[in-house]
Amino acid sequence: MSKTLTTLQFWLLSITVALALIMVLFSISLFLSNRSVQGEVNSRQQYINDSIKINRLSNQLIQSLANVSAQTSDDKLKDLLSAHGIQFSEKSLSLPTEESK
Amino acid sequence: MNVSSPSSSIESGENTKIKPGRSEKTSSEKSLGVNMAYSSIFPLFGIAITLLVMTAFQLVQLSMERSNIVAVKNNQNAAVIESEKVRAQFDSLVKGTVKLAANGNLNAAQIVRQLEEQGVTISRNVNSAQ
Repeated sequence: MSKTLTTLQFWLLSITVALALIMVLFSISLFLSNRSVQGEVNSRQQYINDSIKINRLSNQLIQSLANVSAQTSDDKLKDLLSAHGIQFSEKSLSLPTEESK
Repeated sequence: MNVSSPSSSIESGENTKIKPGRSEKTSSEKSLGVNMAYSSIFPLFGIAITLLVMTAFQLVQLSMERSNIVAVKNNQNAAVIESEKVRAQFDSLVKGTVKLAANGNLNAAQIVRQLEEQGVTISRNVNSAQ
């Protein structure tokens, strides 16, 4: 058998290697792009997780504002809550009053 | 088959050539088949095809990974919008409470103190809460 390649063998080998090279380059760019998108997804997830904590705190704040407003008949606090679309009645708060104890 | 001398041995392998004039061979020469010419085309094609298959596999895997990441990102959209609303409402409530406290409302001041105790940083100048 001959040690040199025939023309067909040469071109087949060259095309195969060229395809492999193109795919390697495409894989590298895809890997870098994926890493960038993954970083974005992670930061968005962190934002969502922080917002869950803020939501809990916000609910506590609303509850506190409503409680204090009901206990002291503070209309300004009530107006503040109303401005944010939060309505409450003294019955729904079930506040521990002196009479109920 | 050329056998030059009676003492030369006929080897068992089919691809071996018997050299005329050499009456004695070592056992390692017999087993290796010394004068065999090998083509380099098959190993070269083997390497090229292996490389091609490996990169194709990696490319498919990366493409699948990308589609998964994009799906996760799209699923986050609703949660991010909701988070923005929650943050805006909280920020606005804190600003309003701080404003009332600054205007002398004792109840608001008490609530602001409670917020600060819970670790909420309130910037009274910039009017933003974190």
